[in-house]
Amino acid sequence: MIMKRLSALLAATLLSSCTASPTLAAAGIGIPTSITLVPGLTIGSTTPLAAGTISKPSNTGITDYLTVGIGAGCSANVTAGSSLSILGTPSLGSAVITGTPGAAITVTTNSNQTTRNIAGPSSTAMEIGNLEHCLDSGTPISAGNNLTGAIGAGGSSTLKIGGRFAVSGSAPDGTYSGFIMVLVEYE
Amino acid sequence: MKRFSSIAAAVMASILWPSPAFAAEPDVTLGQPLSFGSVVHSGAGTVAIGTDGTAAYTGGVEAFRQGAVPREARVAVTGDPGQALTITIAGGGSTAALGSWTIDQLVIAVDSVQSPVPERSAAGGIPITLSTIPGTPAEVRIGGRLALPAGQLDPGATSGSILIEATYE
Repeated sequence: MIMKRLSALLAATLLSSCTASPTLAAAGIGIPTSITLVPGLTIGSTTPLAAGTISKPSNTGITDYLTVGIGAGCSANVTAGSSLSILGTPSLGSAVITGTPGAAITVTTNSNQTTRNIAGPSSTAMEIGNLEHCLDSGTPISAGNNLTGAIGAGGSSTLKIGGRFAVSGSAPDGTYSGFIMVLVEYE
Repeated sequence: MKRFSSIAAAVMASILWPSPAFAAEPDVTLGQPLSFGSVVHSGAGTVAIGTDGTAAYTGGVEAFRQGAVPREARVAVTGDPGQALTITIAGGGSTAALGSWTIDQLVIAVDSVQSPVPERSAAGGIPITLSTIPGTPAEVRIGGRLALPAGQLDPGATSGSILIEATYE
């Protein structure tokens, strides 16, 4: 009786020893994958760098200057030569740049050139010199250098552009206009 | 009676003290996930990560260098020294999903095995033979190409997973 019980116990033990240690022939895991999309940069809501309406020098032989410069906090700082009269409201050029909040950006204005001609009547041109730019309330620098800064926490920043209009007494009356190219990139 | 007791004790001992001759189970351990990094999306395009971690961009997909860094996946496979096994990704295919997009051209490279595998398509699985040096894992690197469609895509992170398996031959 005891023998029989031991035999049964042994058989059960042998059975369990045969099935208890199967070799796992395969193993696997999931590899996490990811990508993060960030919004692209946009430039919009532009306003022109404007001299407004001015009276030119009465002497056709001289050139005087209206400066729509950038002062502290990227605000406009307008000065004019004594032979000019400001009849309108000069203003800085501006553009709103949108992108990833806090992202560092580089702004290139007028291809790093500090002068730009705008076209007037009868194929004449007026030069805008001393071009400068400024981001939000930062420090203005010459457009000859790239401007670096960061997109604001709200996802946008405002670029300001200033310059000096050279007004000749011989310039034909009329409207002068053109454009200034701005390029913005993530760093 | 005494004889049966000693046999039973020996059998019990063999269960409690596993034989060192048992085969080691294959094991797959994640070293680093597959990251396509951060990108600026402006249209249809791709970002491809090589098994060396280099990233290439086409079309309207560009790198955003201020965000997550693109990286190849790294996985260690262990098992019996000298054991032949097959590594399969995504069930032996070469595509996988990431969100609603498709990772195609899955590629794989394997080092620290008897015959290292240079970068090749993951399609069909990769046969390898583990090093005969005990404790030397096969170092598996995985890359792929993610295609993003045209149109407006919501900014943010998208994640998923790709199954990798190691099976003894």
